[in-house]
Amino acid sequence: MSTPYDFKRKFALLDTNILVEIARRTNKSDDFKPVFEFLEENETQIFITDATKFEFLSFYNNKKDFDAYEKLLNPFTCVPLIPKDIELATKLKAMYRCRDSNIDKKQISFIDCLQATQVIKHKTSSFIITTDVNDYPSFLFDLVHIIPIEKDSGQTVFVVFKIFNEAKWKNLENRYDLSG
Amino acid sequence: MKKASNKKDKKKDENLKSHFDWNSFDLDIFFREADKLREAWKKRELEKRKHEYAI
Repeated sequence: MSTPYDFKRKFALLDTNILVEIARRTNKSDDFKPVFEFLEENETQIFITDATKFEFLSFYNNKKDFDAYEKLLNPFTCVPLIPKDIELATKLKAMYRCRDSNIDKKQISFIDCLQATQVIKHKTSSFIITTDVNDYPSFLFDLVHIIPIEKDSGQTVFVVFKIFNEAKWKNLENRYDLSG
Repeated sequence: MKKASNKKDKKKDENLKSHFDWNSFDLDIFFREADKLREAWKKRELEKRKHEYAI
């Protein structure tokens, strides 16, 4: 049996879909309280990126909404993206498609690849929290925790916690390097 | 070699050093704010649609 992942004092990257669930889709945002309670218990540091901000705020088409929703993101540290992140995200997309040629290029979101670069870069100290398990594929990321959120609408959202797996990265990179 | 790579990782993680502070982050206020924004947004969207239908 594998050792359980130690979340203590790690950095937690909030994927945009979590914020969208909280701010748009659910009728009661505190349905998501168990996720934040878990993070607090583990003294994790929550962060977002420029990509999260871009994706989250792209829903709004007027200054009032934009400013109000931007304010909602204020408590979280926003990590700026650097050119190397964009380079890695671009390579990652090619690697995903090399791994599975059936994946349409439109299915792989550039923003998700940018988010993934943060977890790859900070591999020993960070993890990502998302509601879409497939955005961070199992051929590169390990699922280490799940919190089911039962919304008052009767739907259940699964909040998953994923970490980067370096051995899987090496396999994927070898496959990619030998591909052409 | 391993040590050097650990040092590099640590340096990278320094960049991540967050200002996030659980003591100053009030979850209830955060959720309340999100609920308030959603309700206002929904109301505006509804008004917009009513207006579009009327046209």
